[in-house]
Amino acid sequence: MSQSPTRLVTPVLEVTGVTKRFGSVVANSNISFDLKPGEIHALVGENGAGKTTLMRILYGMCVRDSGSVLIRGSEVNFRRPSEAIDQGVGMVHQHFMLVPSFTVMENLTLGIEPGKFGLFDKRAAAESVLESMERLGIEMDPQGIVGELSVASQQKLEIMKILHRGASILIMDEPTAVLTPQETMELFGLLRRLAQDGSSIIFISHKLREVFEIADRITVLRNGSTVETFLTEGTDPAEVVAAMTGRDDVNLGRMERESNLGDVVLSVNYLSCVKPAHDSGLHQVSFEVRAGEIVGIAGVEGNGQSVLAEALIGTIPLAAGDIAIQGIPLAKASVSERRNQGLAYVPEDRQLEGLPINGAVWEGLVAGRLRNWSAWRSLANAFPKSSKSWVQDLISRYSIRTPGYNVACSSLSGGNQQKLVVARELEAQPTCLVLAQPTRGVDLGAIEFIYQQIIEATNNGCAVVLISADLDEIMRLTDRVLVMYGGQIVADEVTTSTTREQLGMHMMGSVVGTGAA
Amino acid sequence: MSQNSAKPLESNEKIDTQWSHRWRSVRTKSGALSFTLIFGLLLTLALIQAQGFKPIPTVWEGIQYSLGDPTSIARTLAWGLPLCVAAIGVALAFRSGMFNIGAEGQIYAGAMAAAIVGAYIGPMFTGLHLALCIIAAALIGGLIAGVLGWMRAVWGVDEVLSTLLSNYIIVLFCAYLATSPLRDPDRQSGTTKAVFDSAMFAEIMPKTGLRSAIFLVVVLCLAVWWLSEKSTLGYRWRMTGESASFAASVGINVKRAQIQSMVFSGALAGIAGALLVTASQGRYWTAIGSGVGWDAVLIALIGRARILPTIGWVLVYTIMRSGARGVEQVSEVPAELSLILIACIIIIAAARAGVLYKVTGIGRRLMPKREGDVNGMV
Repeated sequence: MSQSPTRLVTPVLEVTGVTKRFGSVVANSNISFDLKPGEIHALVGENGAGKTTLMRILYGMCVRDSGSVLIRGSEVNFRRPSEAIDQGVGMVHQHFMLVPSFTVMENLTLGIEPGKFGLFDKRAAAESVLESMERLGIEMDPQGIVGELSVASQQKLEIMKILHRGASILIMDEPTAVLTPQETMELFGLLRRLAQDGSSIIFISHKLREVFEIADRITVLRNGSTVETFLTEGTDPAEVVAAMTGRDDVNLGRMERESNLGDVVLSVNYLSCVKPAHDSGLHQVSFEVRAGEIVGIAGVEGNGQSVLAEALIGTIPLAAGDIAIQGIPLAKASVSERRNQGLAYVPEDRQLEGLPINGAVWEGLVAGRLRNWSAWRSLANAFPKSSKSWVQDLISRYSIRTPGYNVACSSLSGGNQQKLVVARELEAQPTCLVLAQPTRGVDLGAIEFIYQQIIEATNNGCAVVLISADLDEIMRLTDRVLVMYGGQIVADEVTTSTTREQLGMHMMGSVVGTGAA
Repeated sequence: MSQNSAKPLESNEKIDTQWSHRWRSVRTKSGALSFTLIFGLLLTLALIQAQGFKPIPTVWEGIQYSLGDPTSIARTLAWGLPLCVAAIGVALAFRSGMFNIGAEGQIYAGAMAAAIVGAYIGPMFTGLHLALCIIAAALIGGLIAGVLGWMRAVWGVDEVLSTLLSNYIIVLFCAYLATSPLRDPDRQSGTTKAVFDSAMFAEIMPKTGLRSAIFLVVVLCLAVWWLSEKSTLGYRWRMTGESASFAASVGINVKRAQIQSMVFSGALAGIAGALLVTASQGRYWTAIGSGVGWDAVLIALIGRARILPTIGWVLVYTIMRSGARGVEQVSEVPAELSLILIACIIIIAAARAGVLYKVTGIGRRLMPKREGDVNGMV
């Protein structure tokens, strides 16, 4: 860092040798990094590398065991977030801390309401809100109800809320997870303006592409310690990944495989269903997937991808249309009948649908095995000896890191939970595999492992539908991409001949040929 | 297989950690239990002292009365048998996510069915007659709960409400039967004819009320434990209760699991009612249940719907109730005081078992859903 082109100024935040233990687990061990005024500093690392713990220490949500934290040169030890806020440290959480039924103005001034004698001075509030919006170049109706805003606007509001409280050090925890590529660009514009105005930003993300785009410096954490701090200009993703994983053979590019397409396995015709609470409905969705093919479904969340997955596996009723696997119509079939026809499903929300989160590991694994048992075994042992050795075998073959099959699924890391789900689904030797957000919150090592499993399945002739909000994932893995918007498929592109930008346009609703470019 | 960073653990290392894991959970559980009991005991002593009685001799009397000699133990057990069957029945439904708080009604219905079969059919061979009484009670209990479960699964009628309200319908309908068409003309209003002797369990300890029904209860406990915790059917029910979305997505028929577990739950409550007639009262009368169903719901909640803890809590509760009755008989300590104490102990246990959380969960389900999707979005 000696040839740093950044000005030689005192850091606004300096972390030296911070250690934090939870029982016997060392979450942070001797972590050091610093943040300069006007700098955007990215913090990257796998799940469990200690990013969250460090942020919680900086934001006063937990107290460090040793080491020092200096803010503008003076030692601090926050015991609660309000103390951090008083020192100008603000945090944008992954899950927004907003009151959905309140207006923009009310949310912004919540807790610091202007006015006297316990009365709320609406005019003063509106003025102060407009002022900070103008400063940031954000246009938003102060009287708008927050719950009705888009996710991107809610996030901007969250940032404004923190600035409104006088924060000059912003901690952003995975801020782009919920945004489209275009919205991400907008957010980056805002962050750059803030940095120019002198705010300092700690940017936590899984997505290296974004880190390289926005950050001035990148600090890598691994197993609770700082590995290295890179200048963004002086490094490349491969180097950062090597630092994150401790390996230099991680493949970040396209997962190459022999494309060996067979007959049509899954055909979906004019599928429609009523809008459920959590997503858009489906309108006449049709597509086909061949044996050995991976078809990606991209789109901004809430445009029908979740419903499509549920409609394919059969957990929500269809209004119209047909689904067939190898020519056998399944639109009216139950989930277990569909699964018996060779359909497998890795659900989007693994903690809710993928596994019994409070149940044991074996309970999550044996579900598919038990489904095929005849009725007379209903009263027999659900987990006999033969299943025990089968489960042991799965755990070792899919390298699920767990102390044993009797521990609760909730005690496994995200990556291992997902390996468990993938193990169960692929063990059924499916002819068609539906994956919804298969690598969300999963560390790089596990992602690579899961990708290899998917590819192995396609080599055996499995047709794969990959629903993902992560365009990188789609670009790396799929043969074709379908883009969903408003419950419809608006584009069908060959992956190798399209670009992220083009897909981004489709995701905003521009239909093929009539693009608003 | 690709090379991967996670190296599988050695197999005996795995078994070791599994055992230590189990042992740790047993230790924490017994720790929680003794905490509750010791705290409850201290509270008891303090309350009795505050009322101006001598605390330690009073409690000692209670323990003597409930557990002092074989006769006392037998009497205590006899009282707990119907409660035990009803509690594991309720737990079975809870385990699959169905709040069967209609156990009280199902107990009354079962008792009425047993009383009718016992008094109007027969006399006949004892074992057969008893079996008929119990089967009739199980059928009617299972039918009631099954219909309510079916309404939940197919029509979405909240089973918390429907089972709760079914109690009033059933208890009052049985009261009508007992006071009018089936009334025993030789006795005061509200009782049915006495059942034949062949429809009564044999007393195995004279003057204690402990009858051979205890063997049936032990068998039922074992069977229900196997059903709920070990069998494939129980696996489906537990997964349905643990996470209905998971169950649905792996192909478990959630509706069927809900209805099935309700049928079994109701059948057990019905059998508990049959025991009240065939192992205790010998006839139906209008207040035969005396709140056993409600106690069962409470205990199943405290036992977190696990069968073995539920049975354990039935024992604790039975001993406390029996002790309270003893205290009432031999000392001046008023009966209400003992009820307050039991309530306190249950609250402590409930706080530990996270029942308060469950109750708020029920509350949330009964509240109209607003802003749900907004919160779900972010």
